[in-house]
Amino acid sequence: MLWIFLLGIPLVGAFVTLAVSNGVAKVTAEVIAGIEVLAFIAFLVGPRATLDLSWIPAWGIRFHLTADGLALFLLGLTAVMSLVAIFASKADYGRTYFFWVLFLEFASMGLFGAVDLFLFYVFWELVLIPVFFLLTGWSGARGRLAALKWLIMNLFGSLFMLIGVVAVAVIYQQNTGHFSFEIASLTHLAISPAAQPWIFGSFALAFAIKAPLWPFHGWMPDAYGEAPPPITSLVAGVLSKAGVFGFLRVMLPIFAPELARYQTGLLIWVAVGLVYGAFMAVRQRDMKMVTAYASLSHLSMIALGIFSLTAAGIVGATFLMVAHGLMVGGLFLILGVVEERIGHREFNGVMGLNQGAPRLATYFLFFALAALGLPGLPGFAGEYMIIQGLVAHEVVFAGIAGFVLVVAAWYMLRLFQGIMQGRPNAPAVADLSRGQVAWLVPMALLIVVIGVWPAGITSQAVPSLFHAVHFVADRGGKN
Amino acid sequence: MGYLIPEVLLAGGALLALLAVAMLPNAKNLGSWIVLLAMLAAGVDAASMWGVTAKLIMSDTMAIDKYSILVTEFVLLAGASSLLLAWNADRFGAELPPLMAISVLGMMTLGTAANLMVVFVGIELLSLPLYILAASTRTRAGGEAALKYLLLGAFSSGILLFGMALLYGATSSLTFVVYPAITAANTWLLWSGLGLVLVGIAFKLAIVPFHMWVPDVYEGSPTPVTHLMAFGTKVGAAIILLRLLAFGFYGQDGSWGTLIGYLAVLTMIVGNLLAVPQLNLKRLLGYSGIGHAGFLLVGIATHSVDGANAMMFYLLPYGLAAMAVFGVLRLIEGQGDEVTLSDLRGMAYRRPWLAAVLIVGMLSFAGIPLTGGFVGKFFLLQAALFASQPGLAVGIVVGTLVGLFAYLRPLQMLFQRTEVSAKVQHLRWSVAGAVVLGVAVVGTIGIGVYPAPLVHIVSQSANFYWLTGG
Amino acid sequence: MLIYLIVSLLVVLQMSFASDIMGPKAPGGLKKVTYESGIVPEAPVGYFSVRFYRVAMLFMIFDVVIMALYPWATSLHVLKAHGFYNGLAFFAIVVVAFLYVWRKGGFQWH
Repeated sequence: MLWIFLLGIPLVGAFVTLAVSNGVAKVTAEVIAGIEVLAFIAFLVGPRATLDLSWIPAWGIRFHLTADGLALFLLGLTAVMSLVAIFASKADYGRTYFFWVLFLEFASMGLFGAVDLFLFYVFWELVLIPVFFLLTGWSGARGRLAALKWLIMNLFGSLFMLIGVVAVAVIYQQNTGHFSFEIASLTHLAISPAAQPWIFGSFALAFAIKAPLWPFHGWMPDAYGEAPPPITSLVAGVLSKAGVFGFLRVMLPIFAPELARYQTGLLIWVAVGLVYGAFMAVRQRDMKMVTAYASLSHLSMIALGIFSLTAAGIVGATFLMVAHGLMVGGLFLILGVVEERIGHREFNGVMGLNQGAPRLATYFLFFALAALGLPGLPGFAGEYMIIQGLVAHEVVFAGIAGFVLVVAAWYMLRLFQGIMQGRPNAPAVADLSRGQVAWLVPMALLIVVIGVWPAGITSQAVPSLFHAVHFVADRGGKN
Repeated sequence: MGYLIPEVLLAGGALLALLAVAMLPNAKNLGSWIVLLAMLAAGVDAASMWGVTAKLIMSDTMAIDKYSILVTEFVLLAGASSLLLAWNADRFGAELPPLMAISVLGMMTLGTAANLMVVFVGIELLSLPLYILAASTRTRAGGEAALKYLLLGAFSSGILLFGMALLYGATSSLTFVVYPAITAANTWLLWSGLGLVLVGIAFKLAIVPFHMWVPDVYEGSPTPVTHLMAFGTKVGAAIILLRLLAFGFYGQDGSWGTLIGYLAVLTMIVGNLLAVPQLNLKRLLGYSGIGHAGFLLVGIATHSVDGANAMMFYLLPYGLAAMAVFGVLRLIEGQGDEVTLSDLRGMAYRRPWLAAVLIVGMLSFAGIPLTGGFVGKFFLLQAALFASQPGLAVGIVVGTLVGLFAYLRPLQMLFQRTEVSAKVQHLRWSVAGAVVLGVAVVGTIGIGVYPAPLVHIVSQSANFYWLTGG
Repeated sequence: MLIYLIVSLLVVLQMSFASDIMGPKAPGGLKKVTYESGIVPEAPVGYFSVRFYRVAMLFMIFDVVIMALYPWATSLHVLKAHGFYNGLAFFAIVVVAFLYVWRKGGFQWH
């Protein structure tokens, strides 16, 4: 029952926002997103609800959503980030803008909750649409191209994944004689060896493009660069998680044997992306791009944790997903403020903005430190768990991950120093306004809380990852 | 005889409307009302036959089954929506409603045909009024469209008729539902005949490489007529192709299944590819219609009950999306006949609701979830994979991807901020147009969000393979 | 079979093009004049007025239609009531068409 509220509030709210006048659209959207956060809190303290309705009985498709430990905090992340993004948006974007943002929230909620493969796919494609229109209508000069790139590249992966989805269901039907799209029941399929790599690849490709993981990040620089800051923070903070979440939610149960078989190849692939992202971040001159490539690198780190196929690595990845969403989302919002103040995105040498805007500098430093993995903040805990998972059997990759942490410190501090420190060679800018601090403080608090108390998330996540952990144990105690 | 009451009602409506047009030339919309009511009555009557067990009637020349009833409903929807799009528009001429009714009658005939002669009568009944309707605005472009359509239509009819003659020579029967029982002696004749008949129908369905006439004809014809061609003709031609192959050549799918499969992939990709650079929206929709014909062929190529169901299912979301898009074009064009991409500029800010309708229609064409188009593509994919034809599945995906470019460009135009186009500024809503758009949007989203009822209905319809025993 | 096909094709091609290739050509002169069974045309030859075609077509349509009524009339004793009513329905359609053409002024010259 709670699920109906969780999905219904943003969906109905989106249309309510569309119906009110432009002047009050932002306030309406804020209220709706706020109610959604309250609904999520009710979810958190209340019983762990599921929604399971028959949808298309002829094909065994069910409208089945669950908030297990894996999804729970990503749902929370979506609720919080949507609220913050709406707060950070300009009121003059108009009601259509807020309609799409709330619609995006609805689609993401569904995506993270779905445990029926068909339903998962529906929401998987649905999240693309609002972002496409937001990029088309409310972004920079090259926004239209960015929107096309975003949709076409993502749908390229998604549509091949659709073949995979159907193929998996068809194979299940041929194995058992009846239809089901329930992810939990699609395990242990007898897939013919010829079809196996293709089906596996179709899923992996879609997830890799959405995340994005190297080398499928072609849409990323344009989309992150052109989108208005709140949208960048939503895409980077929330939607990018959908890709790696897909590996956990869909591939781990369905393709557990294949994941084990291709493990080395997958690890090499994401490790390349990890290093690539980090070094690309180091050499960027555009501050949004630094963060974009940093995000690419972090997502590779999360994928590395998943492909370690150890309990510690997977739990670490789950944890880092939530943490990374908050950190990178916050970072993009702050960069948005900086961009608005100085009028461009380049940072050359030192600009010394901290002289005139100490509060801005402080919050920037906080989010940058969180992103580079300072102990005590959540980035560190997640990366630690991932490396711990890797050390046992894949020590080379653990080494690479450790090395990239050092590079992360390099590019993040370079960014911070470049913008904030030194003797000012740019005109001083206004500091953060009271309203902006109002939404930065709760985010910072959330980051601190999960940083010092990671068990709050991991203890929830472990039971949900039971299957994964169980599978790892099956491989002969390689844990 | 009772099974043909929908056809009789529609024919009666057409005649009555013709009389009304001639006798009472000053009564506005009288002909339209008569035809509309006849269509409604025919639809209701056809629906009341739903419980029918499949049977052959009229000396085995027509088949009445759930499939034919669904076809009747679909083409009546196409006809009624075209009629409503042409409502109040005197410049199309007073004869438009009866002509449309006769064309729809031809489509209904195709839905029931079990005999080659009936097929031919159906195709001619469908085409002849459309030749006239294409020129009904009496513009240069309309005349060109009509002439092209007439010449190529006559050409394809000739090929079709020749093929039928050969088939008759090979089997000494025109009732194609009994062909599997005959297993003709002269297969050489049989296959040439089938090939020619396929080419003839492919012209009507606009399958690549027989698609060249489509863009010009779509562009030159008045928008309501284009809509009827895009929706109704496609239903009629697709259905008769399926019925001919599935009934008449049941056992020999090895020979035609592959051919249709290749044509399907070719059509999906080429049609959508050619749609990408179009600036005139009606041309764009023409090419997109070619692409969608390719998707329909997938259902036939799989040669399974699933495929037949999927094709039947796909027709409805396709038609509803066409209703949405053509409805919007009709409102934008006003007194003109042309809508280009740049006429859409700024519509999202100036006419948000109309823009929303266009977005829904285009996204359904593109196959985005929560629209009917997605479920249709999903159904086709399922049929392709159940038939162990992954090539078709990949074809669907590639065709869809290519089509995306075509459908996204108009949508991006909607959000162009710089200036609002004049046509959008002076646009006027009409009640009839609003009805069409309402039905289209509710239907598209309804099928997308809750497809179970339609899946159920369609799944009952194609269980006609019992007939193949002869 | 194949040889037969090829030979017949060649023969057809030969017949179609041989005279074109081999025959002598002398264009011009009287060859450009309209030929009407050896009689010199009186009026200058141009396009016929479209009205002629309209009348001809209407005549054709109703003529053919009426022709179909003869066999119907002579075989009514076999067709019985069923055939009788079908014929009437057919006739009714023709009448509607007739009325339409009449009211639209199709039978007037101008």
